[in-house]
Amino acid sequence: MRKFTILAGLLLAVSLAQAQEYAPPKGDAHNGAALFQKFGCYSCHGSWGQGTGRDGPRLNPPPAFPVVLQQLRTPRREMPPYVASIIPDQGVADIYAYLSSLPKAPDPKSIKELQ
Amino acid sequence: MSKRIKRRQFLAGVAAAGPAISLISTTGTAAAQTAPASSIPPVPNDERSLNDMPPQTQGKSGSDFMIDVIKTLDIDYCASLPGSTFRGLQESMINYGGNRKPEFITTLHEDSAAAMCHGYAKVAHKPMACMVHGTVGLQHASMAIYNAFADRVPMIVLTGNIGNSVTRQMNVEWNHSAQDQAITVRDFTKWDDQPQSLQAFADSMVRAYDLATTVPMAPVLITADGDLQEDTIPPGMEKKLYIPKLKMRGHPTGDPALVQDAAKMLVAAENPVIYVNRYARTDNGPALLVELAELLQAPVVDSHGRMNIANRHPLNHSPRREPTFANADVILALEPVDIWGLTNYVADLIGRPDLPPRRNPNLKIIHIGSEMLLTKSNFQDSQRYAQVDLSIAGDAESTMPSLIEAVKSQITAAHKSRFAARGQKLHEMSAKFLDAARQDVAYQWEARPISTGRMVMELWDQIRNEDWMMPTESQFISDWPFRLWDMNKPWHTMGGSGAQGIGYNTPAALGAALANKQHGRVTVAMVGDGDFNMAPGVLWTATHHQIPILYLVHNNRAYHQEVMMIVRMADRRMRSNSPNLYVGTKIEGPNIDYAKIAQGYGMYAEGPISDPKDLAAAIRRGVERVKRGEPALIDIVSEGR
Repeated sequence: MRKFTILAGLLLAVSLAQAQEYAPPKGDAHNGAALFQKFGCYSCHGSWGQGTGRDGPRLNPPPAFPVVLQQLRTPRREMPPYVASIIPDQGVADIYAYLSSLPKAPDPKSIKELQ
Repeated sequence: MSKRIKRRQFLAGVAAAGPAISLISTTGTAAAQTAPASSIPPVPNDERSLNDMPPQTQGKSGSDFMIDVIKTLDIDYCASLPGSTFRGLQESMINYGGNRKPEFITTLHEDSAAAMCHGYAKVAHKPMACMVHGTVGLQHASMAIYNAFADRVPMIVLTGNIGNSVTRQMNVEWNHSAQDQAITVRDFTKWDDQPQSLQAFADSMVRAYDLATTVPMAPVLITADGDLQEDTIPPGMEKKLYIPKLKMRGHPTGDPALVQDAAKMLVAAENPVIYVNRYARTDNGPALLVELAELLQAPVVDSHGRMNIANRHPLNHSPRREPTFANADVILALEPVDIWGLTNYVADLIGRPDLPPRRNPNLKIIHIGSEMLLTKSNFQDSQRYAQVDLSIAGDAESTMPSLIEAVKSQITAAHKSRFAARGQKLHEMSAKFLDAARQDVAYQWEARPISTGRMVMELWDQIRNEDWMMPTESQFISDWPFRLWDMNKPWHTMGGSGAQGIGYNTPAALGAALANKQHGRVTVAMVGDGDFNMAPGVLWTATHHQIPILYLVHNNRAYHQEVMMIVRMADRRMRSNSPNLYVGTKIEGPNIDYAKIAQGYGMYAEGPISDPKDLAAAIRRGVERVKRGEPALIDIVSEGR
């Protein structure tokens, strides 16, 4: 079991490293925002990809595009699958463009109410 | 002291207890017995219809005695709305009893009345009563009673019944009478009775209170017979009636020998973890838990079933729940509710497989709790049966002092050194929790719809210097208060609904606010729009009785949990591109204006607020109202979670 875990970890690390090398395809952020709502992505990840704790992790900034695509098509854990007939690759690219366009979080120290 | 209190002695006791009660008792009886002289000339008998009817006034009635009984139980409030099956009891409560102890709190729905009892008891640490109509009122109240049962919270439910079919009036009274009123809620009450005499009522009422307030606590039901309420007490009988004295007794505690075994396991463990859910029963509960955790330098994981431990205590490792459990070789579970879930996980995947999380193969589990002391068969709130290594039946908080002493007696200098090293690592880890949560909420600070993190922190900014309480559940707002606020008083929060029956938060928060009123505490309730719509009438109750509470409506315009569920179903079935995806889960078209609803009930309200920049001022104005003793509501158009 432990060997399997180590092997899986290594494969994941390799695939993540490979994924970093792919440039994300061109997408339409505006359409991506609409798709993010339409398909209910916002319900677990928040409308701004901010995450909702246990329901869905933060997607701002998003992981590498192949990781996002792979997670959509063959999800790990309990995320439901989104097959290509539902969201084509271009739709995923649009969503990815939307997530990439989100503003970075301000420094929490700059927000009075968070002190 | 004799167990029996004679009627004469009881009345003397009431007089000694307070002049107001004594006055009410005397004048109430006298007024009923002395008819004023009439100036109307007598009508000849042959011109009167129904001339064979006896005089329609009466002396002390059965329900007056019932109020005498209820007054001995120190019940401050009774939430209710009128029902003809208990009209005698209601009249006695407000007139004979002077509308004090209990005071009649008028609600607009029986479910709200019962849910108010639920919230009140968790703050006041004693039950209040609700009085609901026979059959139909009890059916309305049933969900809230079930919530309280599943949450092991006491409440005294009173209902009426016209048990004698001969004296039952035609039509409606038949619809509202039953052979067995309690059957509607028997599966989720600890005890019920339908006493057939006034003496039996006294016995049963005191027994009901005794059972409800002894661990495991739960709702109880007493059905007051209509004839018994309304008929005059026969003169000869009144002298014989007595009210049993309620002696508060201790709660069941764990077997001392097993407690010693538990202490041995905890002291010997490399990585003990304390898990708490419905643990803290009194204001002393958190202090005892901290004492044990600090003795062992063991992390605590809290599921927030009660206000168990300060969220910023360095040993509170709830934000690291899974890694903490994964590292444990002993878990001490205190009133855990779901022990099986500590080592198992039914995934929301096709086939619902059990995917056990990573745990130490040598993990030992110690359970101290009262869950198994009250288990019923039908409704499945008992959770799945789990094997543990040491199970100690008893109230966890009551058992805690002996466990602490047992641990102390077994700790050596070598243990202390090892524990200190363990504690230092835990302190270093927990020092990062708050910054991580602040970073998370910063990502959503400017978001629209207004994020739950922003909503929660704008509220915190307005109450942090007040004596405050947040009685509502937080799982639907990403648990932000537990991650970001400084929650360190036993009354800062009180756990959840017990059975997740929606429509709990809005009325239960008002019950909590009722209990907080005497302390001048600012009660702030963040309620989802789905929950609010189940019980909007409580706003009228809050206004009518001037119960200070600030409602923030987390108005995400959806049953958001169900949005996620239906999307999941559609995704699995490859139908999530359907235009009907949100049918039945969105609360839109028209959008509901909760401020207008509140204003219609006479409450100060603002909203809907969509711009996060408008939040602070609106909440500030709401808090000011609450500090003046009024209720207020702010409608916030918000993110899903």
